[in-house]
Amino acid sequence: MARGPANGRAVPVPLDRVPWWALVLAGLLLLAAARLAGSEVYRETLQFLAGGVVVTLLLTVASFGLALVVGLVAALARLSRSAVLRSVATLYVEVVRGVPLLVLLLYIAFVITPWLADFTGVRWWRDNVVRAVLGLGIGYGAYLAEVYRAGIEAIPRGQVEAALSLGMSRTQALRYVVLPQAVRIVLPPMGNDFVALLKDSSLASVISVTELTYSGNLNVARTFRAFETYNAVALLYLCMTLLGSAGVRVLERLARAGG
Amino acid sequence: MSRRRSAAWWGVLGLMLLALAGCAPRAGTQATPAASPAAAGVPDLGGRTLRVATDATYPPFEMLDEQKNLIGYDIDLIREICRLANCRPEIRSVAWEGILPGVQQGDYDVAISGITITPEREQRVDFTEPYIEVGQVILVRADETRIQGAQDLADKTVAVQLGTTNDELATRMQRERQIREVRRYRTFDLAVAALLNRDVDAVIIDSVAGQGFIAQNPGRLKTVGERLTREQLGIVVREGNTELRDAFNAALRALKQDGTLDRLYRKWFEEWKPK
Repeated sequence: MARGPANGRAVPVPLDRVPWWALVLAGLLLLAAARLAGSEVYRETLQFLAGGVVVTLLLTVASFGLALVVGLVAALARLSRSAVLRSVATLYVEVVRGVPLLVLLLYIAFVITPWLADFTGVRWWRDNVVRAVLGLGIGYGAYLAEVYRAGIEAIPRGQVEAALSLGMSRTQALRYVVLPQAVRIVLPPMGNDFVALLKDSSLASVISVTELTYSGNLNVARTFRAFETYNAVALLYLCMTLLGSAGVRVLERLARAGG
Repeated sequence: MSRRRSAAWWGVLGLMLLALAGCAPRAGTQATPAASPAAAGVPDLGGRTLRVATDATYPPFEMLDEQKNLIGYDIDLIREICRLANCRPEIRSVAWEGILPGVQQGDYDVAISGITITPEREQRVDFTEPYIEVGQVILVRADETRIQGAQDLADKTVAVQLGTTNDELATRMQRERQIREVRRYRTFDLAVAALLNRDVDAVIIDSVAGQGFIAQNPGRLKTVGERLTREQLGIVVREGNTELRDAFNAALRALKQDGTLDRLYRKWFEEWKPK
């Protein structure tokens, strides 16, 4: 993975290309870490919050996975030739995008899933983690649908027509010509949504899912240390989102290189 | 649009502004009752404005009426106290988890929100003398037959409001394997909604607040078993603010003696019915 001139000679990086923001951030994080490590209160707080971090990560990954699937289906439906599919998908995107995620989550947790549970008798409709994944996944699916659509529409129609005239079916053209190029276009906005979802997973705290924010609430209720607790919560979110955006950058680079 | 017509619109706007200006002073004088000296034996707070925090999701202690006015037992009580101690309460509804930290930081002078006096809380803030005694009860759906009391909760899911003494009790009972699972919601509204939705089997709540929810949901809720605890509710002031605390204590004693506390109890816990 060596990047740089092929002859291996070190080239000085121009000053305006140095990632100054990353250095400042790294300095701040080190400072915070040094402060935290020496403090009994923070150590205890971080220990209490550790479980919440795991739940936040699992919640984010699960809902983002659901959103990826829901979004792709909705995007393809919005671009389909069937008027029914198009209308249904547009209705979904416009309604869900137009409702605050918190309201959507409360609606799913207190209206839809209890009704589903009574109607079908399936127990896990009553599980608040399932509800949170469902709410976040459906909510972000609407955003991702638009991201996918923008990516697919960015591919010139001529390419599809060329593929069709070469004897590919529409599905084949989509699979081998459009999607591989679209993926590269949609990766940055998609990474953006992933980081946003990671933060929005804190909304699950209102339906008593023990993620990071909720663990913070519990700790404040337990110790009355609001200042220290929310400091620690903010720091943990920041670490996760920074790792997330770094990961997205690696993915983007791979997609560009991999072709 | 012609210049003349827009001039006419400006005229109308001007008239409306004048009308508003005419109303404003009257509305203003209505909101500020003339400062009256404090009652006998109660320290005079000099007519100052007190920032009061409450979480208006806890009927009948504090809630909003149809016009979005704050009403309830606590709201009446703090007004009565201020009448005697010569202060002006400026009451704000605040999320429960922000109330005690807010008082600690000095964002609010007073918190009155059905707050139980506990040793842990007393380390952070100061309490007045208790103004009412409540006990925790088990709230279940009206058609519930499996739960007769605390002994039946070992395999049940219980909802509470996060960070309340009800939460503390439920957490302790869960640790001692007397409750299977505790779900903590931001407000009791949501905990009761979860109960009515059959998400949880019971809600642990203060007796009078439980009565409030039973009254709001006629025929759908009931309490079972004995009271789980006895606890005393107090008004919270910032730690070390003895001036305010002493004035409030004197006012509370006066209100107890002249029967105002009894009258408020009857008004909110016996006569009040939600619409």
